Amino acid sequence: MHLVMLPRLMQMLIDEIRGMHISEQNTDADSALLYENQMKQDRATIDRETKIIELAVDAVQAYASQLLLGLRQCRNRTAPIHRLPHEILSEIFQLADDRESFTTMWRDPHFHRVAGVSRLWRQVVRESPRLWKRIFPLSGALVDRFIGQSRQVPLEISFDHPTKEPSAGLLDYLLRVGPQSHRWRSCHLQGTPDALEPFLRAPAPMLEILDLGRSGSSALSFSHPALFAGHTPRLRELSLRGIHVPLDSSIYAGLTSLRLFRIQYTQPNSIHQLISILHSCPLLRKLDLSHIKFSFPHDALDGLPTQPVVELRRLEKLKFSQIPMAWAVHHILSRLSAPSALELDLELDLGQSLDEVLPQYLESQPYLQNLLAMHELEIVCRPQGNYWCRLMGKSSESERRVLAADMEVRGLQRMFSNLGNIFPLPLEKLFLSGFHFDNEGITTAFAEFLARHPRIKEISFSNCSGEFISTLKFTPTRKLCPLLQGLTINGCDKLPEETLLRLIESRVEMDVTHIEAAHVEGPSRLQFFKTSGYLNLSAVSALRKYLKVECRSW
Amino acid sequence: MVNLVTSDNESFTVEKAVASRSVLIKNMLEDVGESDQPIPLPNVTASVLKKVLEYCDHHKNEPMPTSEDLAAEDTRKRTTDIGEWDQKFIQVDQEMLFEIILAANYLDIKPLLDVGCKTVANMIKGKTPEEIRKLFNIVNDFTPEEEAQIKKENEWAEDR
Repeated sequence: MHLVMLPRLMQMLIDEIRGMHISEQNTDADSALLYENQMKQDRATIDRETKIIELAVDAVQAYASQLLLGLRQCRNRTAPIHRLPHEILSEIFQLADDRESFTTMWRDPHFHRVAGVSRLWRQVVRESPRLWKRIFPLSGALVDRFIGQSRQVPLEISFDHPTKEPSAGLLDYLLRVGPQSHRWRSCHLQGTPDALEPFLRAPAPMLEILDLGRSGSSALSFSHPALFAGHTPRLRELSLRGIHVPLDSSIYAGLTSLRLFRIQYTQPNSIHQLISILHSCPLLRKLDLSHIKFSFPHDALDGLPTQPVVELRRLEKLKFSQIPMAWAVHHILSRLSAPSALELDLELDLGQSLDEVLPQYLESQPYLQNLLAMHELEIVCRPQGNYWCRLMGKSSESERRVLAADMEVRGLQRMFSNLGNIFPLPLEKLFLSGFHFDNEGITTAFAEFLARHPRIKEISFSNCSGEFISTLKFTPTRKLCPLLQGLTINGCDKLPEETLLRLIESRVEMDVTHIEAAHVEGPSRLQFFKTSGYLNLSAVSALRKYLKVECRSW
Repeated sequence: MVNLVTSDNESFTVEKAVASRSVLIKNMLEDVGESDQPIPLPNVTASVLKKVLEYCDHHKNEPMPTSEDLAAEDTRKRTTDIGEWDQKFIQVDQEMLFEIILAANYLDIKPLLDVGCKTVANMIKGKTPEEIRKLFNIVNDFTPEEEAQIKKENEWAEDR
């Protein structure tokens, strides 16, 4: 670009700078007089002129930069996003913080990224203490910076490093965040108890969430002394993974969520203490006891006084997973009164059956009201590991799940024999999948189960054996599921078409007068049949004479 | 019914249940009592209020967030998940998006403010400063000295 004014302006600048450097020039000139060599004099003059022009260019650049900076700031003020108040920008930056764990954190310095967008954003990040409250294991100096920048905002502490030995990183981290325990709002730490313990002694008056995990030795438990000097008045969520805190500790009071994982209790009064804890947590929403061992015999409970039933009206999720002592689960469940919205999640240990853990229903004291609301049950068998099966029960209210149970298939016969006896289930829908084994015992127990649930209106079989499905055939001596209206059969290739036709005929032509009056609540003959790619067209045509048939091809 | 008047002098007559999604309007209605007086909204234009009322109408039967909900939000790591209807609702150009956020803030409609903030947060997530600048039409206004300082801080953050 050719600018007409440029040479003149440049010369003016050069003259101004030369004037400013006049004394230096004179000094140089005096010195120059000492030189007799003309070449040297010329070089000095050129060097001086070069320096003056460089100074002029620097001055122009600095001036232009200042002008540009001002213009850029003005321009940024017109960006639509900069119309948002600082507190909203700060809120957005916090929401955009997608750090979930230390592994993503240090590779993704979110706030540094955001602070690198513009001067305004940098100012907002620096002036928003809450953006600095989540302290992950960064380099030590950065942890200090987060602590400093977060000012007095409650902190979120997290060091979940799965190492066997206490790492230097963990100790360095704890040395920096430990003295701030009065500001901790949430604390997730994993390490050896020896490494953690010194930093968990001071009171934590702001602490609301505590998650402690043990790393290192495979021993199941470790007795931890009183945490936080017994002062955690705001603690609501507690998770202890492999770290044993005595059950009489005040840390368990007033919780809304409690998770105990991989802990061994040796004292016979442990279960009583656990139930006492539940008494002290009337607002409990979640209780998860997984891989817990009670290493004392069942009869050790005999000498202990009977405790009143704990009423947990807000309990939403109750999980027992892989607890080798079924009697312990049974004992705890028999002391609980839970609402109908509860989801009971049971992962039974090897060889355990559902009836071993569920307490007997008493009309005077309905413990698990969620089971009383179970209208739908799905049982899926899968040849995996020990050939397990999963039960899922739903209530009619917005199809909420009220039961999930995993168990070995070998407990199935016992389960069918007892389910409905222990607890009355108002089942109306039943879904069965993977029952393709021929086992007379299970088939008989299934028939007994159906006899106990006469209100079933819909049954679905998927990949089930013909023997199993044939249980539904209506005969003068066997009148199972008298209210059945819908039948679905998918992938049950071993059931001969002829057998299926006879089964359906028996259910559409059955004599309703044979059904007990108490069961007659509406149409009791089969109304519809659904299948997928199983029957040929002539069979479908034959069935359509009796009822509505929906046949989907694969 | 409630009569709302925007900054560009347009009137909107809406159900009380819809207008009361705004805590500001709800409080005004409670203070004034039964009245036919229009409520002036000097910080909201008609085009923005129309969108805001569309949101309020869709959510009119939902419970208002309680102080307990707001306190719990402060404790937890909040997600930026947005409901399906809200996602479609907030698919607007940036100008309108920021206007909706400002209006939600002024009218004190916390759930709408959340939807707006989450939308912007999702736009920022995973992007470099340069990408963010481009997205929001921002220019780099740092001095070379500040640039050097930022570079140093980023190296510091990544040095574990």
